[in-house]
Amino acid sequence: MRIKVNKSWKEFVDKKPHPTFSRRDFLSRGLATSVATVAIPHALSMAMAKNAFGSAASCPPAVRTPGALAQIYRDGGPTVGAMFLNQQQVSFMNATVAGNYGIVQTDIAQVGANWYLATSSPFAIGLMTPPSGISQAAWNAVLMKTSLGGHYGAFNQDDGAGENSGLLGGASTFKPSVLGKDLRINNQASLATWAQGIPSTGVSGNPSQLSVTNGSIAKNFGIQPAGNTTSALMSNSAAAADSLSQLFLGLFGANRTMAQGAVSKATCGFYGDSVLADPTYGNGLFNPTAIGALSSAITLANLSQEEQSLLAAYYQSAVGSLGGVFVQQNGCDYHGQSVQNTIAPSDYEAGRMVGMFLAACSIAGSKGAMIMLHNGQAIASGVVAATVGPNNVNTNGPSAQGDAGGAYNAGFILAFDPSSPPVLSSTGTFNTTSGNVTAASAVGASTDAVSGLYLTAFAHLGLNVSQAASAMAEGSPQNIMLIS
Amino acid sequence: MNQKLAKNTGEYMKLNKIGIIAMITMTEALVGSGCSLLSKNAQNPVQNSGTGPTVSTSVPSMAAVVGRIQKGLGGNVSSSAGNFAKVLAQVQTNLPSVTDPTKATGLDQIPVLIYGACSDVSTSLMNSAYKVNSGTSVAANMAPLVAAGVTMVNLHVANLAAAGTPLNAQVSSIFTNLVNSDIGSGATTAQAFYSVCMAANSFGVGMTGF
Repeated sequence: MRIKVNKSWKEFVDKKPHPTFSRRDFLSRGLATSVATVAIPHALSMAMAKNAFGSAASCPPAVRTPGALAQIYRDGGPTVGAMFLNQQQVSFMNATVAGNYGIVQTDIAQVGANWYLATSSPFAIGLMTPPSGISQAAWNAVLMKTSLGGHYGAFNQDDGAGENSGLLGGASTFKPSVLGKDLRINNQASLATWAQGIPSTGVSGNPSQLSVTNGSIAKNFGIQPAGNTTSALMSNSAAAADSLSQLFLGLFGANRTMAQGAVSKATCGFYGDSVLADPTYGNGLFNPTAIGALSSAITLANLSQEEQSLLAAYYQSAVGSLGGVFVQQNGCDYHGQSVQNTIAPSDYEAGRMVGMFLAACSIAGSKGAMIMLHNGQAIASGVVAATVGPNNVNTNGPSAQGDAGGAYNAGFILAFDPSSPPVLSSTGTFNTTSGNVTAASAVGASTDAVSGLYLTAFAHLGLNVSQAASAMAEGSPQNIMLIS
Repeated sequence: MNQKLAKNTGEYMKLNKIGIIAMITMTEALVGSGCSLLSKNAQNPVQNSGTGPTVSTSVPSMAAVVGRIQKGLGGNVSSSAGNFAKVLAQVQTNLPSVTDPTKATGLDQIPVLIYGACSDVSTSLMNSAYKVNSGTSVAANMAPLVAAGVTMVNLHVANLAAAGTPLNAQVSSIFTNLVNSDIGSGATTAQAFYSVCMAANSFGVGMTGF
């Protein structure tokens, strides 16, 4: 009797389509796979790490890019109309506008290539008074080498609403410098999104607290205690730490996103620290009496400690040691404040800051771009007499009333060129009766206006605008820039 | 009935094996070609900036920096006293304030703070804790200086470079080279110790990649 058994197709082929795996085979292959899984990426990552962290040579070189870049952020909403005036504003100026701006109409005079000041305002006194040692004629010539641009109307958020809307920028990523970082003085408000993470060194306290004597900036560019190391020993130490990071990087996962970037930033930072071992390094940079170009041009003893400190800082940006200098001036919420005690001193201080910036640019013989931003503003009702400065100069300060950023506001850029001033433009539509302003559609958001001001500054200084525009996510930078 | 079940189970197991092998083979191929299963996150830092944290690395912020320094120095220094405290007061606002490596700045300030902390190790403490005799030459202190560096590194890497491990020899070699370089740079024994201390702790605090 024959018994028929159903056969599958597999029993008719000469060879099975795949080998049968025993448990030992399976474990054996699993072991091989495990080893490969661990060993191959380890080997790959070590190879990559070696390329990434060979030595100090893999760190960006110290490049000196001349050209000063600075910002003053006046926190709280000052009376912006009592600062810079452009040609258009002067042409429609009337008693109502002058009252709203807090200036004396008949005082208005041209100061720069395309801008004006009410010459009896505290801001004008601060800016137009030459630093001691520079003649008025020479100073006037410096001021005439400047051009004003502005985005008007975009900064309409008063006080707290605008304070942390990203009105502080940054520069060091786009402006290579010896120190590779910006200097931030009293920066408390939030930075623009694109400026976050840009290398900087911060100095706390109001700018009025700056002191050359105490080295309030210089001490941030040195080490203490002195004498336990030298620049050479720190370089040796950095190289050893670099080697250790290479050795361990594969074990700790070089392939993790930004692992190499984070280690690279730390390693290059350590290599860059070696100059700090020189005990005179910080003082040599930020004490103007140690800088021959400054001490020979200006009678430094007649400047305040704050003015001397800022002069040196701006000068280091101008000669390419620093990226930019970013100052936050607190106490600028003018709404309901005393003209004599708060408003006039604050406007005068801001004017002196701009003056120190232009003096530094002029002495360095370099281009410069200063940006001035405010969160909103306070509308004025005419002027009130007040005295300012060490000589108690008589001024007419703005009699600030309520917050009115929605009526008038501005973000300024002042560009200096030792040869001839650049041609800068402005955006915004003015009401010629009241002086109020409406923002242009391209800069309706203050973020775009801030980006536009910075891109303008970068273009003036010859920096990589397309790289910066990409970081700012600005697809059409020409629409928001104020320089042709 | 049981035979049919057994046959089905056998075929299921066979298919399962094939599936597992295929998975392993695919993984092996991916690994072999250098691909990462996380490749969608492997953008360069510039692309990452401003688009939110898509990173798997973090950098130490101020509190972590201080804690790691104290750990690396074996509790021999305190952030509330001496040069450590003085330098910390000076640089604390400049140390990284966020852990996102695309946004963190101030990593260069970490070695500056470590230098201050290392300087708090007095010559007597150098001798009692690390067997480094500052009264004799750097060359005479080669072994204890190297050992001090290895000890500090091990405190940061959970003893991965402990005696007897291959890493121990490599780490020792790095510190031997460092001390020889310092001798060439004219260092005193105390300066060589601070150099070793800075290298070991700067690596352990800010250069491990996490």
